[in-house]
Amino acid sequence: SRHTKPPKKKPYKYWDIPPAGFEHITPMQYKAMQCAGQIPQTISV
Amino acid sequence: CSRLHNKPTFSQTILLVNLYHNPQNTAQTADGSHTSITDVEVQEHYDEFFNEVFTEVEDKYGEIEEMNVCDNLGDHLVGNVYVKFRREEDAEKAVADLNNRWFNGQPVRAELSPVTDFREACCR
Repeated sequence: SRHTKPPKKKPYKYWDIPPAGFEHITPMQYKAMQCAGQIPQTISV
Repeated sequence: CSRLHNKPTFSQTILLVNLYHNPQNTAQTADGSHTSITDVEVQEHYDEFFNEVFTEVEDKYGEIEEMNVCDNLGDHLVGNVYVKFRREEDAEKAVADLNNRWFNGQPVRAELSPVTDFREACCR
């Protein structure tokens, strides 16, 4: 039998985390919506 | 400086706009004083951020020559991250792909930057 370890990658904390509620759209669509004034430019934390 | 910089069509360097959020800048009380985030915590947060960005960008897009994070408070500079690749084509690829990715709950804004030497990057 082969003992190949599955590639173990440390999960990222920041990469590919979409804003809550916008998981269904792409980052490009999100930026277009920001430009159109449909959502604020920055969401304050 | 008018800040209307020419955006190059080819460059080794990319700019990731407002990617880094210093926890000390965002965690201020109403009177402007800082909350109890220590310098050590800020450093740890920064190191983690830096490693995560550096590892992912280098793994995915190509060899990085230099990476700089702006931590000053000018609104046009705050949190900007500059990544200088060894090859121009990697920079181009990275910009195209990064603009389709999320980072920390925000869309990544990537563009090519004319900066090649960070010690000479002062705008006159």
